[in-house]
Amino acid sequence: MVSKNIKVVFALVLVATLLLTACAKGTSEPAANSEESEKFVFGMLLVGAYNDQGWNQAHYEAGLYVQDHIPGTEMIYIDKVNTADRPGTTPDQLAEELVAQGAKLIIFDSDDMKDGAHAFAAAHPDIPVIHASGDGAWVDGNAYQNLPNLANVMGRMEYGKEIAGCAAALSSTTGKIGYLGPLINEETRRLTASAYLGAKYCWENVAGKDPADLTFEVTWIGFWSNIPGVTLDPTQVADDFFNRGYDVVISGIDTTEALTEAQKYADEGNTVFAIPYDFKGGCGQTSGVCLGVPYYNWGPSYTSYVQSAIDGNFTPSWDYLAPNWEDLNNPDTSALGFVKGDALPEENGAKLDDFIAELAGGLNLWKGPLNLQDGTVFLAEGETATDYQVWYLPQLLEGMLGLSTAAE
Amino acid sequence: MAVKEKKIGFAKRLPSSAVFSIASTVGALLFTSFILWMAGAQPGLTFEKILAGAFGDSVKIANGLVVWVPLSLTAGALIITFTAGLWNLGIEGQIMLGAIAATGTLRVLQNSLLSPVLIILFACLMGMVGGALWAALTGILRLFGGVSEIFAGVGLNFVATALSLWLIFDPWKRPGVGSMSGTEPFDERLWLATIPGYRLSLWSLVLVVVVFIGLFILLKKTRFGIQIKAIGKNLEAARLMGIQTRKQMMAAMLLCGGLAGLAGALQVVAVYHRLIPSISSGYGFLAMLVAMLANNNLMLALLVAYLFAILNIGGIQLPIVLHLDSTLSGVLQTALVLFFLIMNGVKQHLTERKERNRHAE
Amino acid sequence: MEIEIRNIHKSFGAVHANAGISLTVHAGEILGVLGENGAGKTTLMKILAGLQPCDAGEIYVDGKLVHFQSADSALALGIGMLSQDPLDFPMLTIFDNLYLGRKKGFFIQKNSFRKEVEKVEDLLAFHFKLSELVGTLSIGERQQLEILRLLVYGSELIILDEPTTGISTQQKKQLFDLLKRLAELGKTVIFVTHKLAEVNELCRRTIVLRQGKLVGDVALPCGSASLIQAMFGKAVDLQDPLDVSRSEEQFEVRHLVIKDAHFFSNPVNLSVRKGEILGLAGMEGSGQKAFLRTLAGLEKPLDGAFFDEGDALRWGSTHSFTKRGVYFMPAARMEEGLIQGMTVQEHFILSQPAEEIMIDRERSCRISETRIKEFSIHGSSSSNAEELSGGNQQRLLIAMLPERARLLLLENPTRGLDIESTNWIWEKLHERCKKGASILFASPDMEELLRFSNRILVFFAGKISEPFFSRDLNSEKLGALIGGEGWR
Repeated sequence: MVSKNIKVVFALVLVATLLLTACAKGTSEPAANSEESEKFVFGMLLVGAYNDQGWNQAHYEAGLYVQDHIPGTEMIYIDKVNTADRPGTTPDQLAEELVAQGAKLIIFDSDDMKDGAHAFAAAHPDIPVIHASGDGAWVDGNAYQNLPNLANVMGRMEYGKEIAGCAAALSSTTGKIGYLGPLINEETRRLTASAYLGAKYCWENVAGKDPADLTFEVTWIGFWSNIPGVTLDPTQVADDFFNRGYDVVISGIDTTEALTEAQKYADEGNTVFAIPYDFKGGCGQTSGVCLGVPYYNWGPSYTSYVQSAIDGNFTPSWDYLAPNWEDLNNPDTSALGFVKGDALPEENGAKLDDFIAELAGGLNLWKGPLNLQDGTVFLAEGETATDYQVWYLPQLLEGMLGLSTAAE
Repeated sequence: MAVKEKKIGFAKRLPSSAVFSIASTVGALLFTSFILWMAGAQPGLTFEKILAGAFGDSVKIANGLVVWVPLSLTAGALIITFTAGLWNLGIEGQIMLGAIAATGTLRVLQNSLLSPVLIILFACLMGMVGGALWAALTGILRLFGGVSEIFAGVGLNFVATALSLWLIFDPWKRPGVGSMSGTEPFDERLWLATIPGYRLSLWSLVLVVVVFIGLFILLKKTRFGIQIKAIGKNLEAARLMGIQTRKQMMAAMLLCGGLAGLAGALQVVAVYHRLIPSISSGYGFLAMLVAMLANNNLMLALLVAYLFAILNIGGIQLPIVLHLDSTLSGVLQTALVLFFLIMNGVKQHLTERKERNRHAE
Repeated sequence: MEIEIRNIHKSFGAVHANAGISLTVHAGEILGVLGENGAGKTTLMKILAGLQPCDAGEIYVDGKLVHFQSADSALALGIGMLSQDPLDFPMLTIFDNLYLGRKKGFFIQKNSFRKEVEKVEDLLAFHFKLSELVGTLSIGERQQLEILRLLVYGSELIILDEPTTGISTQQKKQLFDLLKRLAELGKTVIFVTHKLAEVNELCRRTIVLRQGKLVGDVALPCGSASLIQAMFGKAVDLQDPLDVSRSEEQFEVRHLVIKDAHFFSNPVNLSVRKGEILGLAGMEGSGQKAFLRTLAGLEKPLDGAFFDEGDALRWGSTHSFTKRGVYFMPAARMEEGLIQGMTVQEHFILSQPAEEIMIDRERSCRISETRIKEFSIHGSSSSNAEELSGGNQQRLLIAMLPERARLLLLENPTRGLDIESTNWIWEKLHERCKKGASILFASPDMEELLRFSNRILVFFAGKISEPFFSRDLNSEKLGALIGGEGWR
């Protein structure tokens, strides 16, 4: 019996080894190289899943946009680039993996990869680097790196968030608006504050209600998406808002939990709404809960950078891009946009269009008097904020509930 | 009765352990291939890409070694406790506490006038102390509180995670930022020197060699080593032989925690240069698989740790080129252990059957 | 049932365990099989019970040639063997253990099965609480359970391999009565042992095996000298305990109340002299083990104190006892005494107290080789403990007791050993006594207790007697005391 068993094991080993060698040999493609040499490959590092219906999908689709608009380009990417999902790796190390696969330009899509993006750009001066949402290429910014191959791109999402805030204020009956915040940094503070400014403006001036009846609260989960055991669970945070009488939740995170939960509550007969973020298709398949989505349109900007890299005249700059007010949702010209959702009734939709027209006409909500959350003066009467002041907003604004910096 | 067995042909002998190891490897490969095939990928191509991703160029080989260093240190640490029969599942927490202690030390000393070498050295030492203290908690709970080291360890892992998150989000947060991306990176002079152009530090390689030589001496040449082996195999008999079982089990925990803490400290000074929430990178649990697969053999542990490191690094290629989730290398790692355990069962079965046939009075 | 075996051969590697054994066993007979450890008794019995195949030879049952593929096929023909190491499921109840092996019937018929079991139990005069877990039984009780099982499954020939190891005198008597009754009922019994007295008591005929060969087929009763001659090829002489009446007292126990799972003892006062040997008598599980373990520092007493030359030892750390030279040697060799997977040499290293950090391999190898030779352990320094036979494991345990041991607490020190080995071990223990060590030992064997002890403590259901001088006792008196009679 024993010998029989051994023979079986041996046979298994032999067969398996042969099979594996055979199929490893059989499937290799030595011909791939010649084709690749003509292609311009660019790499993208996504902080979350490429199909997250949010920030990362917006980037991913911008990559596809580049492929469509510049023949002969090809995108390669790694998603879920964060220490929880890819333990033991760093963004710069992963960027090198992309380079090894032929990438000649790298896009880092998250503020969280700042250290990695800067390290990589410094170590690979021959590779153009675009760090979306960063400020390393901003001469007047706090983190200026002076690297000849580092560019930044960021849309002026303050407008998008103001529109979202306005839509929320127009739809809320309880006057309680929740903001599902990611982690706390300058970017998230200014975007949350923008949503608040938009909400406050429309609550008061469009709906004509008492500002004292408006509550705007942010809860930070700790990251751009849910990481079980590490971040707060966004599903629970959204639930908590709805349970406490908040009838609109504006999402600041890259994933769609706010919308999903709103749909659940709506299906149970409640009147609640959500506003997703980042991605044009963010409203997804929901019905009757999505008020609209402010989204980024990275495609045109990335296309021009990739083209310049191909042409050999990549000149980095810090791009803080405004929308095309002529045609807010033009996929080829506007860096950001707002798609109205099916939960926004026509009447409110018209009011929102009026608000957008006002913004286009020069309405600036970042105008004094504005105080910071702790009561100190941020902008005096009549003063308007500079880009620097907005970008590096040190606290939330007076009137907003929630933490300005991490827990004290 | 000692039966001196002559080699009487193939049928009388059991195949060597190597055969079983190979069989389990093949089993794991076939299993993973099956999963890949289910997922619609070509198994051969996938394995080829993993290999290319691990050995494609010198940087990749170095990156593999960067993973290998903490993995083998931790596996070595676990072999001490496994030898003593302690299932130190708290290893993750011990790595984290090592990293936390090292980060704390660097923060305190970064503006001092001490030379960077001294600061780094001190940070590593404090990392060892941190890991050892965390392990001591498990040990105390096990030896004096009667709490299984498995539950104590897992519980303390949660506490360690919470502690590092709290530190990152609160006292050690980057100015104005509340993000789990980690603390402010340390100044470059406090980075453990790496080979230019690579992420790998020669010092950490040297450290692994030194630690493993030390472990070999400890486990094979000292009374302590043989005593914890006895404790692990038969606690009652060890006690009756007059071995101070509690003291030696505690010592095993402390040593293990110290080495795990060192691995954590290296993650800070040599890899991330700051504290991040998942600083342990799951190496503790991975090292547990390594130690099991290596059957507590130190040399084998180094090899298996390298294999796992390769799979980790090689797996990065999968999402880029094949759009496969890189956790597939995790599947392969786990499958390896699973099949190893199965083959071990088969081997034991065969051995027992043989014993039964052989046993004479 | 009549069994005939012809010319059985069996080899293990170079060892010829059975070298051409032929034998006929008659119905209704109780056949003794005598032989020292390693004589080939167990091998022969395993072949007969279908547990292992023979290399050559034939077996006839009632004149018909049979081939056993397994123990099951032997059992189907009515041959059942009680093994030395009972295999059962500790986590199941006694009833379920019996029930599990049941062959006939697919459907569960617990009630009728229970009646069958109870019928056999009445025959056996054993009464188990069928709902108890097997794990709670003593070694002796587990063996009783094995016998019960074989009878329940209708064995016609029952082979018992060293069945009296670890059971009490009373249980032994019950067993013997039962075996005799079985023989009267026409069942055949083969009784394997190395104890002459048992064969003389039970059997009318015995065969003697030595080195794989049948060297004697003797009608009983007969003088033990000729049997010993046949078993060992030479005569064996006995040792007497030392005269310790004038040596000093080195250990003292005051008002010690021990606890066992089932009872507390009465307070014990006792002093032990240098070189003295104290026997602990009693049925298994009467508190001897708890007493020894308490004195070894392994278990805390309810009350009392233990003095070593005037210093009170504190319970809490076993190490503080071993440090003073107080050592316990358990009966469960592989469970508590030796370490599976570690070599003989490693056992010697572990058991020798030493302060140095590093192991001197050369020295320890030397020590190991010397001890192996001195204690005639069949095995090498690099053999794993579990590879040794039971008798050699026992020798290893004795050999491991460190030189500096001053109080040896031994639980069944000669368990499973033949007369020669037993005497030899006592010779070794006497040498220690001469050097001033004191010995407390428990044994189920009254002869051993009477022969080797200076004094004897009797344990009965948690009661511990005053020490008796063994010269004032004989087996009748001791047997009565063990059975709970004659206590004041």
